[in-house]
Amino acid sequence: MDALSAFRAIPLFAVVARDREAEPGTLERAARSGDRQAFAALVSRHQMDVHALCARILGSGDDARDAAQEAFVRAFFAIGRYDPNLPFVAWILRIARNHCLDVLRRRRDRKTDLVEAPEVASAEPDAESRAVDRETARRIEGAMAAIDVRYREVLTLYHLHGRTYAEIARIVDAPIGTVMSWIYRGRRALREALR
Amino acid sequence: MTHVDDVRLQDLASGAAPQAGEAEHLASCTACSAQIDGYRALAEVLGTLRPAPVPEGFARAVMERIEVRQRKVRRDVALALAIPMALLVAIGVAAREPIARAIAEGAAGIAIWTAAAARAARFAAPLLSAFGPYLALAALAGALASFVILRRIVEVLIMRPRVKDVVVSSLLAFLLPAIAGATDAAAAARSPRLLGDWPAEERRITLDLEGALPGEAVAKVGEAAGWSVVVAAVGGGPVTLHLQGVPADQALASLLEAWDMQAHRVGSLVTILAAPAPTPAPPSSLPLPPPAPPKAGAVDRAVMGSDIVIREGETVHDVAATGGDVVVHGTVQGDVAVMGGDVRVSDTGHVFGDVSVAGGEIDLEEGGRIDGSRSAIGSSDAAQAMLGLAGGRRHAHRGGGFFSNLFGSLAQGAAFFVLALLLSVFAKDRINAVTEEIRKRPVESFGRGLVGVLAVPVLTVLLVITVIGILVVPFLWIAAGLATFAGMTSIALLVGEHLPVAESRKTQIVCLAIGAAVFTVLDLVPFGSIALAGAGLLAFGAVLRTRFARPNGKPPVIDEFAYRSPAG
Repeated sequence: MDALSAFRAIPLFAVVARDREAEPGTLERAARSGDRQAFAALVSRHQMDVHALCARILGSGDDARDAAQEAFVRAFFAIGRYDPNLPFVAWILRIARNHCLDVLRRRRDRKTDLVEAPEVASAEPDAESRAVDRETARRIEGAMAAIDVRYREVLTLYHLHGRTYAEIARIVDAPIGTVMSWIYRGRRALREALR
Repeated sequence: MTHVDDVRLQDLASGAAPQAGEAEHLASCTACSAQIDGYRALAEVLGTLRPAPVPEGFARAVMERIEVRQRKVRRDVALALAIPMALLVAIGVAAREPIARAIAEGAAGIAIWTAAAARAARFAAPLLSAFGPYLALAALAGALASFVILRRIVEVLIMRPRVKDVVVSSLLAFLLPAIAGATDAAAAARSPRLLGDWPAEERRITLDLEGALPGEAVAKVGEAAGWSVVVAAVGGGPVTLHLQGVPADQALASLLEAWDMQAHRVGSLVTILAAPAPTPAPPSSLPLPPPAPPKAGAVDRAVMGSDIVIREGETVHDVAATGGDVVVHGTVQGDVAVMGGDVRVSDTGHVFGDVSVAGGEIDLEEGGRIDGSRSAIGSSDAAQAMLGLAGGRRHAHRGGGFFSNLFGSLAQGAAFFVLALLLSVFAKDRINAVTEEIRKRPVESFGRGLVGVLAVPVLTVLLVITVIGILVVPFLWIAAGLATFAGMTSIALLVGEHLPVAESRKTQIVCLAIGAAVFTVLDLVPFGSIALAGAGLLAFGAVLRTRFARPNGKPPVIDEFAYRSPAG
């Protein structure tokens, strides 16, 4: 192998990718300038959040996977409109959320839409309480799937993703007061659904 | 006391401090306390829920979807513009009115620019998605320019324009590049595992292997195909091959498919690498991006209207910019192509491929490297760049089959025809002088061409030795290229004049069209390129003998306003 070939075989990108991580917003700016690798890295970084939101709104399964992938594809083609000074995650979650609502609209019955509860996975590692936790989680998932989609998404963003009211307001494109109201009502609806 | 309202209960459950009176009420009201406990429990349970696991290969599937969508966008753009253009041409033909004909000519111009943009967009991956409206504006601007030029052609060449001539020229100029642009996008869809520069036709191989290890199998395929193979990584079990006259690239692609590998080709050097790995479900809520793939996965960078900076340590594949500069501090594994901007390769920059600049300059700093060729042409030679775009480079049809090659050649022929037409209009006397020289002294012209072709590299070396002469080298090669093109225009005219086709209406435009068609056929048939090379020598020699097509004051060879009798 000559020197040129040896050089070309070195996986330089691992180093480059790590370097990019060091500076906040670098990946986003690179993706915005047409760097596909940077965009792929953003997909890897945010796929969990986006898929979780889609699964919560649409239910687990192919629909959630398709919606999450479609959200990233739409983001890629609209990346020129993304403001790198704002959090990418809020932007992509907003795209995902809007697309999921479109999907729900196509299902025609947004208000009473019943989604299949996402797969239950308890964070509790204790073996003895696992069965109990699973049962509780299953009930919560069932109740979440039964409530209004607006409440479902804000509760997901607030409790599962740990987003602030301001971030959620940006994602769902609503005033903070409205978001807070939805969260309150969502909790109440969830408790009623659990009774 | 009345109960605490629900919103306030939730606040208290979230940790808000009770206000005066609330604490006493909560101490005595079991209902309100129970509500708070219930909301606390709910929040705790919600916090323990985990998101549904991300499907395996999610990120990869996203990038594949993007790739598919981009191809569709390019195809749709080409077709969306081609269909209305076809209608306009049809209207122009049907109306037989000057204004309708003018519209048809403008449509032809739009089509040329559309095809050029489609080809450019194939190279520039996210260009269309991000800059679609700008490309449309560019196409319109190009169409306006084409409209003016084509009107001039009509005025000068055809005088009493006949609809048929316009139809022929419009269709030639419009349909073929448009179709080529569309099929080119389809050709690009093939063999995603074969990256880099792959020729349209690969050697066919016959090979029998029983239980060969992957590395050995790849080496055997490479040996049979005449490649130098570097196996950077390869996995998988033994394979059995029975290949009978299969194109080597197809054989390699199927092997790579089985092992989930990719191959990157530069010249005859083929490097086998691991394909970018599917992204596993990340273990935490903020997963790190996967290690970037090795060079086979290197991305292309393309922008319009702004600069591209490849930072030190950064590695990309191809780089394309329109209306902006490219500054390379890092590594470019493929080519750099810039229209309307400069390329600067800094002392840490390294470009493995070619650097081509139209309407700008190449600035290579000491310590920087450009391994491939360098060509910079001024904005006055934009037509040459246009030729490259509209005609397309043959090797761009990677993995393309017969139809891809056919349309590529047809597009080149159409581009040649249009540019030759322009040349014969705006430099009529010079073209006539060259034509006359070829007609009278073909052997001498051929000999002079041979000497000239040998002299150009020698002259280049001499100029490089003088150091200051390096500046002249690009102009020397551009001049040689333009001279050959001018000579080929004359040859096309002569071929058209002498072939017994359309004898009753042989105007200059018809002769050129016939000549361009013959060149296209020669480009497609086996050994035709030899004839074209001979014609190129003849063309170059004739231009040299006429001292770069200096007009000799003799009357035009072909009377473009009169019909030519079969007897000539």
